[in-house]
Amino acid sequence: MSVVIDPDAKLFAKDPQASLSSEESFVWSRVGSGIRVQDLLALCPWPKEQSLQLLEELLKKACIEYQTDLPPEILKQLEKDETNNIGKILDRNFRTEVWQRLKKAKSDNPFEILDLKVTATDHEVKQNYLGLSRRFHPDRFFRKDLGEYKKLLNQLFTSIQKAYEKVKNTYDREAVLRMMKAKKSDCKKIATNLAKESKQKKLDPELEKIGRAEQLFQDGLKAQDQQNYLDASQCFLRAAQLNSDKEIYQQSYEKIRPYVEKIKSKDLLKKAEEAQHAGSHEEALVYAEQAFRCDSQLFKAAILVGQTIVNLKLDDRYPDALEFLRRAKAGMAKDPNPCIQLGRLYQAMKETSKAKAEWNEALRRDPKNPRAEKLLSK
Amino acid sequence: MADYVLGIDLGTTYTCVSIVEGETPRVLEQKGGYRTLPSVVAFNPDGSTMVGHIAKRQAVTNAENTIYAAKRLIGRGFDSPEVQKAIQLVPYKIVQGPNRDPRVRVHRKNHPIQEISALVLKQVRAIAEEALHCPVEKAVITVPAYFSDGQRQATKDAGSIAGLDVLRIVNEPTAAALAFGYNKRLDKKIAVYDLGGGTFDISILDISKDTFEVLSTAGNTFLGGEDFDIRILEFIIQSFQTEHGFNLSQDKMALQRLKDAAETAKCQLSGRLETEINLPFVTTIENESKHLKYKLNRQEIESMTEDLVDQTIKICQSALEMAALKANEIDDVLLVGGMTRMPLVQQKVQEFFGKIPAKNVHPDEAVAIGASLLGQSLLEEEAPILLLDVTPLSLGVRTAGGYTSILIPKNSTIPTSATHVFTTVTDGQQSVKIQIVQGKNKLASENQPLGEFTLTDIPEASAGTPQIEVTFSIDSNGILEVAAKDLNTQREQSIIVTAASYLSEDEMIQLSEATKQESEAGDAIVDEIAPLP
Repeated sequence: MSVVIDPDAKLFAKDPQASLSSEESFVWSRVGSGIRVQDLLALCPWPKEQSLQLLEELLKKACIEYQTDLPPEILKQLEKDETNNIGKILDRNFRTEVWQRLKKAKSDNPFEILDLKVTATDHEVKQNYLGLSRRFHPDRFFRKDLGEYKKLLNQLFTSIQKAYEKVKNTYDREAVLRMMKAKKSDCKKIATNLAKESKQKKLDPELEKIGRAEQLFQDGLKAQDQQNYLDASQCFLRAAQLNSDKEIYQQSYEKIRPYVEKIKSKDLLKKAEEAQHAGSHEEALVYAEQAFRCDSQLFKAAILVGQTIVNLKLDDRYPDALEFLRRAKAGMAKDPNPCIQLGRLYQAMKETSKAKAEWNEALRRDPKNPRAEKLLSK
Repeated sequence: MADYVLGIDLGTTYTCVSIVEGETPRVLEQKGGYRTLPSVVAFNPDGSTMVGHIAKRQAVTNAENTIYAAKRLIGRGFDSPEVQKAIQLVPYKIVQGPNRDPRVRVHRKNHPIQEISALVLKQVRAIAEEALHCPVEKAVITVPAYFSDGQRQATKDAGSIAGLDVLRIVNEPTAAALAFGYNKRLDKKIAVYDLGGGTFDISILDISKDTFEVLSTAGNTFLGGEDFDIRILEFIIQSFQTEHGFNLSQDKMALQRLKDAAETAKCQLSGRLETEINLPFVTTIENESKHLKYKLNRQEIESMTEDLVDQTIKICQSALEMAALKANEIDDVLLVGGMTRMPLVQQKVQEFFGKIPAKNVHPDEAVAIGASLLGQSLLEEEAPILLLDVTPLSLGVRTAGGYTSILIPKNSTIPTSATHVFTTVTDGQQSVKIQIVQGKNKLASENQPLGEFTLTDIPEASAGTPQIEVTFSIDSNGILEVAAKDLNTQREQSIIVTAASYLSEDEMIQLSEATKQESEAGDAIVDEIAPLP
């Protein structure tokens, strides 16, 4: 595979170890203490391919070398690697190129990284990108022991990928160029921007709160769509607490409150009934009262309240029980249960005539109700 | 002696293996002339196993101990919606393993999914060694392009358990593109539509001579031929229920027979317009034998499954958008996977891309061929193929507040890496726990958990002082590696990685030993009987 020579690379001459042909000595003499490949090729009288081939020969014979502005430690490392296994797999020029390109990569200029002029077209960008990828893709050295060069290669490959992403098409290229121009000329602006940013950082917790509130609001809407009203109301409430300026949070909370209350009251009623079955009437009373307070249409809860008050024989609460059961009776026109319970209440209040009247009413509502009959017979 | 690399297409329903001889790829055949192997494993009460055609044939009478479609479970968490859905659909038992991973329970023993796939790979290896008359160890295994990190790692583990040296995990659409464009010096943009037994992938590639660059990839790892079968199955069960008032899914053997019949009917209706499902003595209701006989025509199954195909077209649209291309800018469309034989699929793909799909790609074999070509290329001195594949899912860390901070966006060319500097929040904090997730959702909890790692032994300092730079690298297999460096001391930071559902080291060793012993104890591999007519 032929050596690809970076046109911007600088060469310098070393003492030739082998004999050179006349053309090769011509080229070698022009290199001197430092010349760019481009300029050297311009000086040579032969066609470009031939000159490149001569250069390649000289590089192989180690008469000329890439001039590197790499720090001395790395140069020493390159010398050391010459003799070990890594040197056999990757030749010296390749390793030098890796280091130099990594240095270029640090400059963060995608045009430099991909060896492009700023006037490059889409096609040229792609060609360079593919050419460089082919040379530095880790698969080229699959399973070969490259020591620390493995990490360097990966870094280089990643930088090539990221540079390509930035300059793939015309719009992105223009954006990159604008940013680079801005960086050069607006150092003052950058300074003031930094000052603004550091001020903004103090406001950040506030912004974060607002962001979180918005996120909670979105979650609440999602939950609401799924008819998960409990979660939704919690989300809206927390959102409203975090950001009390936005009215919509509070409004949303108010809107679904009735649903939530209904759900809560149903839960409480269930708990009350369970408690009653378990025999703990006090608990049942508490739950049933809460349930009815949440949802004043939940008449079953009202009945339960009345029932438990009678069961517990709480004299001082009989007027309350009366109120509850009367409401239940009014709300449930066809159900005999409130009447039955009212009857029991009157019986407990020792007003037998009223009790009888209630049980008769129960029978009227539901002629087949066995309980009413039983109570009447007593 | 030639060093062969197996190209293994480990599919949900069928597996295919190929090698490269000189310059030509060749699919390896088994005794009986089969060119593919069902990815089915059955367990006998004494612990021995049956793999392939023979396992599939006895599935009806041994439904609870015959494992199929393991690829739908591999590398997923037990609590994931896909695994939970699979539990409802399969006759074998799936239980939770020690690492929150799913395991199949047969004959009162729990087997990790990696072991099931390893048994299929072992059989593949045996087939290859018999066909080539020499031992083979190296392999390239394919996975759906949309597979997550956990699913890829689990597949790689399955290969290791089977005693294979897995050179690369490669994406199925990319492998198919390789088979299509190898040695042809093309300059084309192609779309690979891969609808297999259990998964769907769409990849848009740009081929420039010997370079295969993936521009974008998208898919659904729980959408495939199996789902088409299930639609037909549900229809028959419903019809039977209406006619006889009995839910056939309660009878496991009937269900298995029905499933086979549904699959056969689906395949037949690709060539014919009408077919019949005929299962005499399918079940007994109140001591009376019932028979099942339904006519099914192409239009009916098309209307049953049209929404599935529409889902795939929608995903194709998003893949094109991500590649910044329009459908008419695609030069060629490749159809891969058995399900693409269905006329409705071909019709919809043709409508969407506006061109007739390429015919010189074998839908069952292209992926294995491509994988073997890649394998050979990796071992050659000057790798002739350059593959620029991408990662399908965004990689991020969970930040305070439960959001995802994306480090490596999806469709980034791999191998790639990104760094992030972490610090402590309390004085004297000595460890930092970081959660990595994969996916596109903003809330970290909605993404797939990749794993957790803890930075330990951080030198004591006030909150915010330590600067730990963590490098996340996704390698050429699409699998994550993590390294950490303390920027203050420039020394490597110790990290402990706990992945979401991998096998522990001990268990891996245990399983590899078990499979090695089995093969040494004189082949437990059952010979294939002559093919059915």
